[in-house]
Parts: sequence; C-alpha cells; structure tokens
Amino acid sequence: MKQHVNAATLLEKVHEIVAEAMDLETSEIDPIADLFEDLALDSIGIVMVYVEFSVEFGIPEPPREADLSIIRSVEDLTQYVAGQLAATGGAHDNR
Amino acid sequence: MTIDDALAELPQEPPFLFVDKVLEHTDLTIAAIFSYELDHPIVMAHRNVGNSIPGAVLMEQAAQTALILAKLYTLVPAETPLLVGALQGKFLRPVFAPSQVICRTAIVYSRSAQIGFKSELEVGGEVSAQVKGACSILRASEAK
Repeated sequence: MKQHVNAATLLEKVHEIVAEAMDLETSEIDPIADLFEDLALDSIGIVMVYVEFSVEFGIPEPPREADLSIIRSVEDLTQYVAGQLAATGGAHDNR
Repeated sequence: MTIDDALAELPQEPPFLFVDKVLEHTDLTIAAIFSYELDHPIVMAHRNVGNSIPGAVLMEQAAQTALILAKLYTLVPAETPLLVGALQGKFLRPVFAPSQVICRTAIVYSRSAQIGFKSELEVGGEVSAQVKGACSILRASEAK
C-alpha cells in the first residue's frame, strides 16, 4: 500500500513540475499525452523540467548515453524519475 | 581548457561580467566569486534602492558561472555563445553592496545543444538566492 501511495505521489509531483514548466494547470495535461507533439513543450522547457527534477528529487544528470527522446509524457517522466531514485538509493533532496 | 581560457571566452565584459575568480570546480560543479563594489555602475544606478543588487543581476551571475563550467569541461563547443532560454530566481535575502557573492552552480543537464543548471548565491555563508536555468547554444543561423 505504501509503495502504491508513493508511486501516485511521485506521479502527482512530476505532473505538477511539468505543468509549472509549461505554465499550465495539471488538469490541462493528460499524463499520457505526448508533451512535445500534443502540447508544444519546447527544448528549453524540458531542460527546466530536468533541472527541477534535480532540485526536487536530488537525482543526477541524465546519463549521457540515455536516449531521452523516448521520454514523451508525464508518465514516461515519472518512470524515469522512479528509475533514477531507485538507482541512487532513493536520494531525495527536500527543499 | 584552463580557467583563464574559459573566462576569456565569455562574451560578457565589465560592467556586465559578474565573475572575478573561480574558487573551485569539478566536472559538474563550480564556485565563483564576484565583488559588488559601491562604485560598480549597476550599484550606482541602483543607489536609490539602498545599493541593493537587482535579482536579475544575481541570476545573470549564476548563468555566467554555468557558462564558465560548460566551457571548462567542453560541454559546449569552443567559441560558442550560449543563450539563456529560461531563468528562475528565488530571492531569500537582499544583497547590498559592498558584498562578495559566491555563486555555487551545478550543471544538472547537458546535451549537445542545451545546458540546465541550478545555483545558490551566498553572502557571508548564507544563501541569498537560488537560481535555476536552461541555456541553448546560439546557432550560426540565429546570429545577426
């Protein structure tokens, strides 16, 4: 149960971060929508999302060999963050 | 590339250069210092606000330290300017001249054309501002 709640909380937080970066309400962003094709997120916007991930979750820079082009939606980003948290032992930088 | 080389590559010049010296650096982090003196043109132009340093200037200081780090570790091609695409600042305490402001910046995202960074600016050991930013390489087609 706790793991389920944490996953939902993570999705919610990632959703908020993306909405903030796009100056939209979370209700305007379908978690499975393609942020670039459907919602016109630009290259600078996605960089700010990753910066915010570093600030909020303390996760490191995306590995150079990682293909970030396959990360298209809020759900994809949530899975990415979850993976990074697991790889770093769940490091969490609370501001 | 040396620190002097990286500084020489910066397009900014005084009074719009906000880095005096690099204190320390790794491949993803840098600490650099700038002294805001009372006779600095921006301070003098802001004297009616108690010689406070504008937040926009502190954000520029952060962006410049990020650029130096990107140059030092060749995260961007040589002699390639970076354009700031987005900057966000949170100002926790006002900064008044004269002050030495240490900017500690970490690059948290880098790909061939973009850099993402986060910074903390300290005065007297206390964090005065936090800055987040994203920069992209100025392409030849975009240059006037």
